[in-house]
Amino acid sequence: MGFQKKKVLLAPLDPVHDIGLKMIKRGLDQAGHETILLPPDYSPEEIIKAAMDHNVDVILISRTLGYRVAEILGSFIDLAEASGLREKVKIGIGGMAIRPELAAELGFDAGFGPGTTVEEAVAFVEGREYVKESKGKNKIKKDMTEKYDYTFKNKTIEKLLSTIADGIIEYVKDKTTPGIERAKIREKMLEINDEAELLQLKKEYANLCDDIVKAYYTKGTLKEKTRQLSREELEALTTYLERLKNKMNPEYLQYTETNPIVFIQYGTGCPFMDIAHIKTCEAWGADGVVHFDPSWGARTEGFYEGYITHEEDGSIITYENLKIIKEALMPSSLWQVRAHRGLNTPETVLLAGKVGADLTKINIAYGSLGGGTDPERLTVDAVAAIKYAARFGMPFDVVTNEELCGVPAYKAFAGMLIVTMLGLKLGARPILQPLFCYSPEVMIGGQMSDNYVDFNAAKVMALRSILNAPIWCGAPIGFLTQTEDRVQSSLSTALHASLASSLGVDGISIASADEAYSGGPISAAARIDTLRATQAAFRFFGHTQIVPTKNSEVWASQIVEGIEKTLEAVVKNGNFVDALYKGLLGSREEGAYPGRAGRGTVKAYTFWG
Amino acid sequence: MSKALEKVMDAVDIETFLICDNEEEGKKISLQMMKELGFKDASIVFIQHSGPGARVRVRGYVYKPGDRYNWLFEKNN
Amino acid sequence: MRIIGVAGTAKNTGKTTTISALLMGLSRTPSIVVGLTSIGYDGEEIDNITGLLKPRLFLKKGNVVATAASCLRVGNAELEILEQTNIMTPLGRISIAKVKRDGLVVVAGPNKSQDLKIVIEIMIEKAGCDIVLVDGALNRIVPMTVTEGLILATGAARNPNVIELAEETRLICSILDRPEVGERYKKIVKDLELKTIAVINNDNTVKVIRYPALIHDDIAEVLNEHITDKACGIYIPAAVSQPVLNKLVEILDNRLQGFTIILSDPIKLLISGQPSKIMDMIKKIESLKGRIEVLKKVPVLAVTINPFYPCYSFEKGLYEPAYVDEKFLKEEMKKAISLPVFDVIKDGSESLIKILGF
Repeated sequence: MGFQKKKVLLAPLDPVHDIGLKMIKRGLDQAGHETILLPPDYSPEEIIKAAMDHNVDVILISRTLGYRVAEILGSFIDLAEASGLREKVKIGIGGMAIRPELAAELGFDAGFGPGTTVEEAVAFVEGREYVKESKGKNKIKKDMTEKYDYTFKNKTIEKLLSTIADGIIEYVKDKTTPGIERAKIREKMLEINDEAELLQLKKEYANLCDDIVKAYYTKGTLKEKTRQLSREELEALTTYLERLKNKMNPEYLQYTETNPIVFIQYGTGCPFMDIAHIKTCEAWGADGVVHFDPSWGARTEGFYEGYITHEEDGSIITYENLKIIKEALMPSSLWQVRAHRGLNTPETVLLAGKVGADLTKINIAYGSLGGGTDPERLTVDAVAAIKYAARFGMPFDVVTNEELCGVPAYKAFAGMLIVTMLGLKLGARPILQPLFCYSPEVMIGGQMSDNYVDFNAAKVMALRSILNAPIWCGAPIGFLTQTEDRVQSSLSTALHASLASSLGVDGISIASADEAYSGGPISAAARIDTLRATQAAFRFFGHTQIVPTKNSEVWASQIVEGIEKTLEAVVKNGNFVDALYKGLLGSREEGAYPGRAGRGTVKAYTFWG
Repeated sequence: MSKALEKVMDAVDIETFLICDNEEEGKKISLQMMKELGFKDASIVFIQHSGPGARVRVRGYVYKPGDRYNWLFEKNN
Repeated sequence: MRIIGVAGTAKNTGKTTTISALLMGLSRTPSIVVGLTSIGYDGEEIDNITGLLKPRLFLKKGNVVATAASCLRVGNAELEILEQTNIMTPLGRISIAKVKRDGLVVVAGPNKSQDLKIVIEIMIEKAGCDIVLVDGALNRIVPMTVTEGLILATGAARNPNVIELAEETRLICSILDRPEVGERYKKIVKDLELKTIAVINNDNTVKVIRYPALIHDDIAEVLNEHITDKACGIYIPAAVSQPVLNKLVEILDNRLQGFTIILSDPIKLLISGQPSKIMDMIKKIESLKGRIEVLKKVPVLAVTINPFYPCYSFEKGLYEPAYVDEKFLKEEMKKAISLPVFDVIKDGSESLIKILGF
């Protein structure tokens, strides 16, 4: 013990014993202090005499609050002081309604209210200034990929993937797209200071954009329902964040070291509302946040510039918008900017990297089969995007949302693994993102007719048997199991979070309790609901394992077989892009439609000079 | 807008149990209630009718994304 | 008079209103540097216990406040820290700060006598305060022994029965007005640096016991063993309990003739029990020709009254504001005591300031 041994008198000023007082007694005993616990219902005079008789150093009083009780406690303190005790004895008060303000009003040396830790009381006894163990304040940013070496256990699959990935790299070698060219121009724009040169670059950039974006660069106009944020608004945001900084003392969601890190997704349309939600989620314990951009942005060539808000879902990507969001984040918060589909994939990853994002999201198979982007265009763009990700040291996840269209998990996984291998070959660090969802596949196949556990577990087991890579379950977990009822919705999220944790995954993305509600924007309160539910579930299960039935093993091996078969078909087909069009990684019958955005825009390098 | 409502980040949810015969009636009462409380932009997030009435969560948006949020400009936010 | 305490008889008796009135009154003479501190926590908008609205304290530029770290940034007055003390409170370390721009302050000061003494000294010696106001907390009064004069705030929140309240106030004022003991005893206490209970004999010898406070029957028994025929007085430096003192009086009985019970200050007596019982006991001592006196008086300068009280509504499950008839309250109070009586909300602060000599 680093501190002098103290003698502590614990006294309930109540007719009954307070459990908190007993817990503190135990803590003090363990810390090597001498404690004397008085029976309940002693009078103030008796407590003070006991303190004198035992020559104690500290008195800890517990008392339930009610009207006039404040006066009783005030009298107690008066009596203690008049008795000369306070010159050498410290007196603390604990109880349900005790807050520091009240302890000050009552005249005590310290107050221990709800949420007080035993450690806090021990620190008081030992005369140490208690630094609230705000684990949150010391939160450290985690790298999900850190402990993975990406070795393949399934050598057959490794070989197939290698062949396909090499084919892709070869395929895109002398191809480029307006998206790739814009990213190059943007990078120059961000690096030069010369006004004239900048103007010239803007012209070049505008020429590679769709009319709606070009209009901004030539006439300064924005599309409908969008507007520039005013200087007044930006200044207000700075003040708001400055004030908020001192008030942040974030919760910690994880209860054990094995609980995964928790991401939330934002994209209200307005960067300010996004920031307000992000800060709320950070305060309630979210470890990371994922930026959602508008769906029209994915179908539009080119990005705007400046601080822009709009009144629809998804927040517009501009360098400035990303920058204010980045600056608002706590240093420990992980930040992902998605680039998994659309015509601006390379530039998105470039901007994310430039602004300082931690993670991005790239998947050719989903982006072209479920995300509306032309397979060829996205293949070429994705390679460029992955190269940026590698350059900026940003791991990216490979999401498998095509499952939601109806593509069976094994096919979606085949696509995911192809992009994963591509990422590895290009020097990036990919993260596997299987869905924890009630997908059309299982609705028809009945794999979830008994429980939501087995099939989700099978997915993770299958991936683990193939390679040693980080797993981040998405997105959000429990997709299509949630209803508009916030209790059911939060519970379902929390249970899926617990399952993910039991399976030892590295990260999860959670929805708000508004997940199934489509009548308006997600509310901040609905975000807190699921964060709290997840925290409670992590506390409930601790290190407990959720044990799936035997079905999970059977389904896991079926998934692995399916992946192998799919990859064989792709290899046999010869060309990856062609395989996407043909439906080898998800067919029209399964609900996967090769996207049309950007079709015919891939050109030979020489075209652009 | 009232001073208190200006402090709402985005939306006010009212959760209650309404005595009614069916979900349709519950919806009507819910929206009527929000109107009476002064919420112009109200929608039903959740409603479930069974037996004596309906469990409901109705939402009134105070600010939607892109609005001017008064809490952002409040000096003492 | 430089150090003025405002002590309440209960919560919501108008301590903060009285302090506000004093601040307002003193601000009319801008050359006076006013210092403000509190032995509790004051200045929040909503009462900590009843949930009803409470006024906040407004300080003018140039004034000085002693408050805890976490309160420094809460109000809207601009403060410049003059000195950080080592005194810790549940709301952090106490700082002494000068007001740079008028505004509201939240005050949570030192909550015990020894700390209060240090803080007041800094406020007067280093920060140049001409007067220091010490806001009370709840019914707590003991740290007020450090002050040079007290304003007693009482009102319906202590007891909505006006007759009973006036009678109780009379008793409180009378208890606080206990006479000071003669020089002989003062010298003995000082010379011998008595820190615990002592029996003083005719020949100026003393017998001390290990307890400083007379708060338990067992201590009275211990004390009795040391009271011999030559005993002429007892000095109790710390607290007394009225029932225990009563027991001592019973033990001494006829020996009380010419006997002096000495307390360090009248506040020790006031907190020993119910005022009516204390007064009965004083009468009993005096009827036996004994005396009960104090080393140092704490003069009561005025009484402020407040007709407000929080009334608990069982239907609503919360406290609601209620009031007694203020005219009646004032009349009864004036009848009961000879000190000036103010309803600061009605009467304003001028006459109150005059009493302080400003």
